[in-house]
Amino acid sequence: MRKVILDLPLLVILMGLSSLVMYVPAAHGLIAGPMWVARPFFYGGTILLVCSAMLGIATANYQPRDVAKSQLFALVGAFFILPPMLALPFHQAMPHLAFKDILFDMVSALTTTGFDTFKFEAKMPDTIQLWRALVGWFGGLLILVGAGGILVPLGIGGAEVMSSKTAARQVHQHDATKRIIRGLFAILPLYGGATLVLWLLLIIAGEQELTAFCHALSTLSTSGISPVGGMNGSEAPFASEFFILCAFMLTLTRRSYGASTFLGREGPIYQDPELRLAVFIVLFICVTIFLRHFIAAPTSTGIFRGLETFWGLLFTSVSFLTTTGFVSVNWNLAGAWSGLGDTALILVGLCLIGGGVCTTTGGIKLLRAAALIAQVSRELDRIIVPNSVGGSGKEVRQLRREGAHLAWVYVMLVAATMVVVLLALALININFHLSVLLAISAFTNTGPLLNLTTEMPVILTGLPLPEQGLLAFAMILGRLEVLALIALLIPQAWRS
Amino acid sequence: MKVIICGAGQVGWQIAHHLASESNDVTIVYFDPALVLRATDALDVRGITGFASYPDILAKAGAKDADMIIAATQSDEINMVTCQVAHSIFGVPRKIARLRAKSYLDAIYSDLYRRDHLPIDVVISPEREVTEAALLRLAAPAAFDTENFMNGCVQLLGLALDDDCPVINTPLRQLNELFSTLRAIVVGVRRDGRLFVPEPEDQLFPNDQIYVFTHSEDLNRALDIFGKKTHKQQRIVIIGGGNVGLGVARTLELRTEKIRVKVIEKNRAVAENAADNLRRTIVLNGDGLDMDILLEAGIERADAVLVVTDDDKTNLLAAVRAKTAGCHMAIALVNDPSLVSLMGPLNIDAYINPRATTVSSILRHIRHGRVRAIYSIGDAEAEVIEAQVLSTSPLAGQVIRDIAFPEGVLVGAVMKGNKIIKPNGDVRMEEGDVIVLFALTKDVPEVERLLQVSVNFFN
Repeated sequence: MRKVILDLPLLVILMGLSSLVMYVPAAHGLIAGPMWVARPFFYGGTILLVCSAMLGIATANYQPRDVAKSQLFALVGAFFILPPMLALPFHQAMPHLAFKDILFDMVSALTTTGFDTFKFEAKMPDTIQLWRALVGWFGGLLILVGAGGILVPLGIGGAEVMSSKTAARQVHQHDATKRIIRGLFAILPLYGGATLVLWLLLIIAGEQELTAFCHALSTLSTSGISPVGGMNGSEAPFASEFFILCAFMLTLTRRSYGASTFLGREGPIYQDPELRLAVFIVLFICVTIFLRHFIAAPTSTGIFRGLETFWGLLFTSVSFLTTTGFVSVNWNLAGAWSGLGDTALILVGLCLIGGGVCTTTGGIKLLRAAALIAQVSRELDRIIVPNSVGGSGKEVRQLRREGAHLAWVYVMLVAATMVVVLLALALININFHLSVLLAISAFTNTGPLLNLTTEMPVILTGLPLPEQGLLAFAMILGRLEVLALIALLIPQAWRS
Repeated sequence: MKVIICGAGQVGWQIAHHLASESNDVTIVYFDPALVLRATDALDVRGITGFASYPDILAKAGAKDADMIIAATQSDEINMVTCQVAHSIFGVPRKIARLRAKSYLDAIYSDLYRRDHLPIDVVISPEREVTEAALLRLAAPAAFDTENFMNGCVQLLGLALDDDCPVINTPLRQLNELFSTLRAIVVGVRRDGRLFVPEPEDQLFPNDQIYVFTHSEDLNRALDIFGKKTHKQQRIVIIGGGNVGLGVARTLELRTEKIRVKVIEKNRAVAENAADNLRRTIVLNGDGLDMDILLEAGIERADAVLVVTDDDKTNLLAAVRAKTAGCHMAIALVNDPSLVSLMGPLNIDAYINPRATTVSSILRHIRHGRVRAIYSIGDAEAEVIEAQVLSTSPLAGQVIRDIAFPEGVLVGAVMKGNKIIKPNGDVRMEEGDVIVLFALTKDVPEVERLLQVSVNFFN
């Protein structure tokens, strides 16, 4: 039985899995919430499971010619096919909401973007909030397994920076399926376990159970979906922020989820280029902003206030670097303290950088940034001593030569895509400032960015369909790192 | 003594040359028949073609009754296996292996070479020894030749005297009275290409090359007296980033004083390897003979250049080039001892001869008595021998004045317990003392006889 299921096409398995996930809110509704919310999830889950099973029976004998490509197709397809499925029970439970808005919200959750689509609607039932966070978590799992099992063996998704050109490995049918299953079993305990631990810690910190659970899901998946509007609605902001900050560490390096299975020889963790860069960026930004306020502050306000301010800066910048988008309750302290203007624009830059490759974060990714920085510093050395040879090992050398080259290609792709999205948004009559924000937050999968950086609120439900569609597409592009789509369209050709 | 030498490369060849000339029964084993033939033609040795680690080849080479086996092939692993085979099957009493890889040489693994593990009595590593020699040269930039004795407490310095040397035209006896607290002694003088041992009445002249033994604490004072300024070396350029160059750069990096080292290496892969293993040092990829590269390395401001590529001619030319560009001092690695005489005309300050260092470490294990170190001077013109005085040796119990040393022999230093003593005629040699002797080559057999167990020991 197990073997039969595992031999099904990946997309069908994913459909089945997402149907199964619907039983979670169903159970929650049954126990805690109004039954009328639970019912659509139970029925929807059951019907979709049956559909998936039938689809599975129909496709059981399907033998793809090129396994790697078919799996890549499944991964890409999942982001187009799963959202309508996931939106179905949601819409059944909340029939007064437009289906297109719900669909948009599901895309934003599944891509771990976490736009607060229904910010200006009446408060949703708990079960729905849980469902949104859960979809985000499921999307995070999907990309974790997909990155390690599908993208990396194809030499994309961050692996292109680390491995040499010849490492574009042949993927065999047998291996491919097994690798994904192995990846799933390696990642699920860690990912799920970390979520559960964080949930418990947040409850201990004094959060409501549901808020704690949603925040745990959103932290690990970096979606930033919150039933209470982020940390401001938290019962115990400081303790929660502390635990969440610890959990963010998992999303800052590819090594968290055992991704070292593919990126072999590694040094000690403190030499990891991604972590080092993350620490450097965060500290640099925190200290700079802090000093800016510190110098400008008219009167001294005491050391405790200063520490609180610093904490606010630290938490928020890490949160945006991981493209989660939780904002510390102390974030606004700095501005209030010194009377200087908002520094939120820096957060836009942070989420453009993003977290570690092969994690749930979006953005350009730290490893690519590290490759570019390594190359820059090397080039600076070469200005002084043109014939010098760079040291620090084979991996770093690879990183700053071919790695930096490919990272640069990626940055250019991102920039080009961003410009196209931006232009298209501006074309359909959104003002430029807003278009930039929308494009960046969609592309880097940092939905909450929108809440922070605009004076005038964006009513996402009010956006017309083409714009929502465009944003949804940008989210998927960002989630799959553009390259995946290109690899699908021109397989193998773009590298040679 | 019957010796089997495995490998006919630089090291193997030189050892064979040296041992054969001392009338030992030497057999060379190597897989390349052409090289073996060349060795048997040129040297007084026997040659066997084949892989040194194969037991049947070793049997053919006469391992059964060999006194010593020296495994000096290019491969560390073959050398190890050879020693193991020689030990397990043939029971060869002395096994010497040449190991290059740093990992094999590291101290933590030194336990590995015990009799019941991997039976190697002596590990020799030409690269490591040359590295040490290079560091010594850099430490005493004024000397053209240096070597440590008695655990580094005594140094042999080779100094070339200039016109402005303050002690010129002074009899050595008078020197001794002038600086009575100076623990230094002149043991050899090379004048017009001839090396001799000075008498107390002899004087020093400009353009003499002298060999001086000095206590390491008195090193700077001794250099002062002979008119040599010691000045700090802060910028060093190393040409050649192989094992030797890398080793030197690494050691210099570990020093506490700030020394700026630049390494020039032609081979890209070797340069990258060097760069990976160094932190502060800048590694340049380019030809050490290329003026642009030399200027990029800042040769005109460098205090010293150390040229350690594997080609003698390149080393000499690069050293000359660096000196003309303004470098204060040039040290070159020279494999061919006949090139040593070119150092003067080329204005190269010092040289390192890997042969001398390697051969001396092997000779130490061949000589009779308790010889602790041997250093070969010049083109095998003289030897410096550090030895322990045995109770049965004719030296024991005698005052130095009464010992019948040959004409070409001088005592450089005596160590009693841990104390270094300047050798006067009144010092009495006792059992267990360590003595350092400077001996012209023709007198070495006599010195050996003196250090040896005397015949009446067996009566």
